[in-house]
Amino acid sequence: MATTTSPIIEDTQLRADIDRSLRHPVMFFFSSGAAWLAVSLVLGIIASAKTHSPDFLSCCACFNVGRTMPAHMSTLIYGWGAQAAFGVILWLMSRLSRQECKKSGVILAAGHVWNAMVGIGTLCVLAGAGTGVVWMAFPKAIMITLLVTYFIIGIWAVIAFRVRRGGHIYISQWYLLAALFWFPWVLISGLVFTQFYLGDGHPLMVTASTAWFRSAFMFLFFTPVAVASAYYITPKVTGRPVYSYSLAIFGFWALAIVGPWAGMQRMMGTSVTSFITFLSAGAAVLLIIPAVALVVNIIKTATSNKEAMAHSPSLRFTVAGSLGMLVFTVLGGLISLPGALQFTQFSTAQYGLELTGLLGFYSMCMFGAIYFIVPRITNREWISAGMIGQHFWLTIYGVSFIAVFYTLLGGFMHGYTLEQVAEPVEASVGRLYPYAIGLTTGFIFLLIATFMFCVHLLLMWLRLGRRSNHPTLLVGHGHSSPHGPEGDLDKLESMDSNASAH
Amino acid sequence: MTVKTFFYGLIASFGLPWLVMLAVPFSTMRSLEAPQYDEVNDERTDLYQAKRSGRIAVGSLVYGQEGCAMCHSQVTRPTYAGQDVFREGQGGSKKDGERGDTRRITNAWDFAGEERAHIGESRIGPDLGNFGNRLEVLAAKENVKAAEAMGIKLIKEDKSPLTRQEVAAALGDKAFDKELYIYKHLYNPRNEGFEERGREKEWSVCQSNAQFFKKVGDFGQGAKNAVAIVCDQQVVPNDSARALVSYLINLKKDGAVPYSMQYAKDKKKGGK
Repeated sequence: MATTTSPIIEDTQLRADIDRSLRHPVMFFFSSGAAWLAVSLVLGIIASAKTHSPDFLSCCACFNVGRTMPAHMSTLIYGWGAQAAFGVILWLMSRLSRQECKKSGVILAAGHVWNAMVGIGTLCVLAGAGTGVVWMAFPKAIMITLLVTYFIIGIWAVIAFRVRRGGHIYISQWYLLAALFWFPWVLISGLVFTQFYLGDGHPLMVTASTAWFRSAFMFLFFTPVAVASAYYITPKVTGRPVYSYSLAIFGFWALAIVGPWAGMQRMMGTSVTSFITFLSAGAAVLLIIPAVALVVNIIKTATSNKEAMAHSPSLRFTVAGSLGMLVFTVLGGLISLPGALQFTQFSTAQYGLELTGLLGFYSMCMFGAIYFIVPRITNREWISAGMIGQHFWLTIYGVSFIAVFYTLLGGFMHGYTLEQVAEPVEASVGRLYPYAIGLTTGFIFLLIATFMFCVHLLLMWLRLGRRSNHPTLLVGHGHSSPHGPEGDLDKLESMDSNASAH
Repeated sequence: MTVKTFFYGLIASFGLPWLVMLAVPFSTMRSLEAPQYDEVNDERTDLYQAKRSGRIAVGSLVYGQEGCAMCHSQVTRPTYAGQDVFREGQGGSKKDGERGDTRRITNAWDFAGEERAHIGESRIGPDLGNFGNRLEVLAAKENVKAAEAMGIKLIKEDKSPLTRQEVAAALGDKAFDKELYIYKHLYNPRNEGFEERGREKEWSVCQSNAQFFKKVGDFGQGAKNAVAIVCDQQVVPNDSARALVSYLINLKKDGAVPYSMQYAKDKKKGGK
C-alpha cells in the first residue's frame, strides 16, 4: 500500500538525515578547532607578554617570541580557522544542496590526520624546526600533507554540490564553491613560490610571495566562508529573504576581482617591481567595497526582524562579524595607503590587522555559524544563554582592544616613533609598551571567552545539551514564550500526552 | 549565472592577478642580471655581485627559523616609503671615517645567497640591515678607548691617525671582540648581573636565547668565547650560534654600488 507524506514532513526528514550524517565530522571539526583556538590564544599571550616583559617564561627557548609567534598564527589559521571552515562548508553545502553525506567516516579520519599534522607542526615550530615563514611556518612535508588532507575533506562538499537536488543555487553556495576552488590554488602557489623554488627564486620574490599568500588566504578562503555563513544564517534566523540578492552577487564579484591583487603592499620600498606594491595598496583600499555590500545586506536583512536580532546568538555573532569585516577592510585600507605605510609597514599595525580580520571578522561569523549548526546536529539546545552572552561580550572586548587600541592607536604611534630618525631606537620600544600590554589584555579577554565556548561546545558534543523544543535565546523564557514552555523534551511530551488523554 | 560561467569568471579573476602579481615577477626576478660597472663612471668593468655563502648562508636559515625577523627588519626604504636612510647607521653612515657618506637604500642584490629576504615583520627591535657596520663602528670606538687607557699612541710618526685595523692589531687580545659581544647579547640581552651593564642594554626586549649555548667543563685558561660560568661550567656557543653570529657580523648593506644604481643627488664617480 502506497503511503503519502506531505512535502513539509519529507523536507524535515531530509534535513534531519543530513544533520545526522554530518554529526560526527562537523562536531569534530568544531570542537578540535575551538581547542586549537584556545591553544593559539595561550601562545599569543606568551608572545605578546614577551614584548613588554621579555623575561616572562625565559626558562625555555620554545617560549621565545620567535617561535611562539609563528606557532600562535599557525594554530590560529590551520588549527582553528581551517577546521571551523571545513565544518561550516560541509554542513552548509549539504543543507543547501539537500544531500546527505555518505562518507562521514572518511571525512572524520581526514580530520584526525589534519589535527595530527597541526599538532606535529606546532611542536616542530616550538622546537625551532619551523620554516620561519609566518602563516606557513610548518615544515614542508606537513604543509603538503595538509593540502592532501584538504582534498579528501573538500571533495565531499563539491560532490554534494554536484549531485544537488533542486535547480536554484544560493549565494552562499557560490561563496563556498569559490572558497573550495581558491584554497588549493592559493596554498599550492604559496608552497611552490616560497618552499619548492627556494634557491631558484629571488629571495625578495620569495618573501613577496609569502605576503601575497597571507592576504589571499584571508580574502579568498576565510572571507568567502564567513560571508557564506552570514548569508545563510541571517535569512534563516530572521525568516526574511536577503535584502538584495543583486548586491550579494555584486559583493561576491567585487571580492573575486579585487581580492587576489592585495597583499604585496607589505613589500613597499623594497626592490620588487614597485607597480605591484602600489597595485596591492590600491586593492587593499578597494576591498572595502565587498565589505560594504555584505554589511548593508546583512544589517538590512537582520533589522527587518529586530526581535530575532536581539535574541538570537547566531544572528548577534553574525552581525558583529559582518561589522568586523567592515572594520577589518577599512583598517586594512587605511594602513595600506602609501602615505600611511611609511608608519605602518614595520609597526605593530600589520599584525594587529591580521588579528582583527581573523578574530573580529572571521571568528565571529564562525561562532555565529557554530551556535546555529550544533543544536541541529546534536539534537540538543545550548545549555546556557548566559555563557553565550558572556562569550559574545568578552570576545567583543578582546577584539576591540586589538583593533582599536593595538592596531590603530598602537600601530600608528609605534610607526610614528620609528620614523623620528633623531630619536634613538629605544624610544619606539618605550612607546610600544602600553599597546603591548593592551594586546595581552585583549588576548586574555579572548581566552576567557574561548574557554567558556570550549566547555559549552564539549558539553554539547557529549550530548549533555538541553532537550528542549525551543532554541536557547539571549532572553529569559516563560510560559508565554511563542515557542511554548521550556523543559525536557520527554517531560513535555508526557505532559502533552496527559493533556490529550484528559 | 551558470556553474560554467561562474568558473570561467573565477579562473579569469584569479588567474590574471596570479600571473601579474606572482608568476611573472617571480620568473623575471629569478633571472635578475647583475648590473655591470661602467668603465667611464666606475672606473672598472666587472659585475656588481654580492655574495653570501657557507656558514653565513646557514646563519640566514637559523635567523629565519628562530623568528628573528618577527622583531627585526633588514631593509632601508627609499624616501617615498620612509625615513630609514636618514637614521644614522641604518642605511649606512653619513660620515664614515674611511668611506665618507655610505648611506643608500637596500637593493635586490643585498639578499644574494639567502633563501628568503628577511625584510622583517616589525621593528620592535632595531633594523639589522647594516648591523655589521654598526658593530664595526662600535668596535672602533671601544678599541680607541682601550688604546687610550693602555697609553697606545693613536697617531703615527707621519702624523696620520692609525686605521681601525692598526688600532685593533696594536691592542692584540685586548681588542674588542665582536663575536663575543653578540654572543653575550644572545645569551643575556639585558646583561643582568654583569658589571658592565650599560644603558644601551637596559631597554632591550630581546629574548634570552639559551638554546644557542652549551655547557662545557671549565679547565685551563677557559674558552675565548665563553659567555658565562654556571655551576663551574663554561657556557659556550654551539654551531647554530656561530652560524648566526657570522651572518649578523656580515650584515652590511651599504657597500658601494655602480654609478647607474646610485640615487643620491651628489652621486660620485669612480667610487670617490
